[in-house]
Amino acid sequence: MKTDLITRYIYAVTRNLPPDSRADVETELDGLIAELLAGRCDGEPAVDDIRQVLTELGHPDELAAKYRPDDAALISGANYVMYRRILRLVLPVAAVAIALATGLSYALDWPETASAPAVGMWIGQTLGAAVGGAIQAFAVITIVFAILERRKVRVRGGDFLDNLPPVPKATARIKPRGPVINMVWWILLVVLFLGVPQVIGGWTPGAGWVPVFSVSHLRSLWLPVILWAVLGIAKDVVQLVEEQYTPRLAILTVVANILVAGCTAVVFLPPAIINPDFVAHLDDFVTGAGGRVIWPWGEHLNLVVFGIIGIVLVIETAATIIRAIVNRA
Amino acid sequence: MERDDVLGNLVSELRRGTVVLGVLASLGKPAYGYSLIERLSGAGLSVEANTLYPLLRRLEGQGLLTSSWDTTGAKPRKYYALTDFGGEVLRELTRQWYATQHNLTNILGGN
Repeated sequence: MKTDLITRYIYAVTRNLPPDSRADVETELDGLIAELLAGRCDGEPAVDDIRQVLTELGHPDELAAKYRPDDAALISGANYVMYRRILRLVLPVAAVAIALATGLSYALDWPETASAPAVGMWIGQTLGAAVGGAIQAFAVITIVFAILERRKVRVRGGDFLDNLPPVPKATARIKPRGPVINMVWWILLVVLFLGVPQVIGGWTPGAGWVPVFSVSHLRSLWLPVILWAVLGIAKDVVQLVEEQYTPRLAILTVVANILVAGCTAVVFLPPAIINPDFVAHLDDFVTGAGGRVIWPWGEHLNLVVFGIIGIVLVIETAATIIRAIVNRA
Repeated sequence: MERDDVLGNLVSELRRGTVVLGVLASLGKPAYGYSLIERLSGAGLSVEANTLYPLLRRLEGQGLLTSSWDTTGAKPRKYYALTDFGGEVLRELTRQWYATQHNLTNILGGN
């Protein structure tokens, strides 16, 4: 009983050590415990003595950890700093990318009359895929860094003085939540446009719910719509990487927004994008009290949408350029 | 409690290097783990067995110590001795110790 406690303690320590050192440590600990007990009691040690000595030696896991100081951490030091930085960058991008792919695979096969349970299922599947994508990315990055740690590889460059990031002005800092929220919006937008565009519409007493856009026509334009979202997400990824408004970000925003404007033109400039039924019922929506027309541009709704998007793109581009210039000054 | 934790950690950090120096300096002639604990304790440097035994193995792994088993007693004992490299390291650590002690004495005396 007494020796069983000691044997079990020693086993609990040595089972966590490399196989080639277990026998050695086992003999050494056995001798140590015998010496500690001999120094404590004159004759045969009582169970309480053994318990006291083993308690003083500490928890077996803690003692094992002291035998393996090089394995104290899965990822440590400068590697851990880099690991966290990469996680912060990759996890939202992975989640959004997987969610986008999953959402699109549903959206492109979506029936024109989608039921509420189908919408709920799509949301659940997309969110599940996003979480799954983030977890997979987390696992891969963690494994890679853990391997680097075990091989004692330090991921830090030698010439760091020439690569130090500039200190951004307070107004030029980009917090990660902004681009991440934007990426989620892009996904919702794509799904809305390609999956359930019929929910954008208006209700009339006579015809019921009338979609604004021609559903089949909009879905035939899946390529520019997806390109639209990919360009938007690319801007957000660069914002996550740069963490501040920089000339590089400004140039990318200009190029991306020109391409986004092109996609917008392809989608919204042809009048066929608008549902003819919606135009036919325009009077129901645009006529206010006393027959006064409050929305005179109804027949050119596509141009109105194109104009609004264009203004937003111009404002965003100008704001990014100005912030980059101010940050650099 | 928090104050005690902070202080305890800082004292541990302060002692960590000195224990290595104390162990190397005490191995002028070979010794086994438990006798080393008593030798250090007799000199006023108390070291827990669960700290010393892993430390001895680590120093052996770094080439500062060499070991051999004595199986003539009731229980086998592992004797540790300084290697030539361990002796070099001991001399350099001793020099660093006196330099640090001198500098810190000046700093602490200045307060």
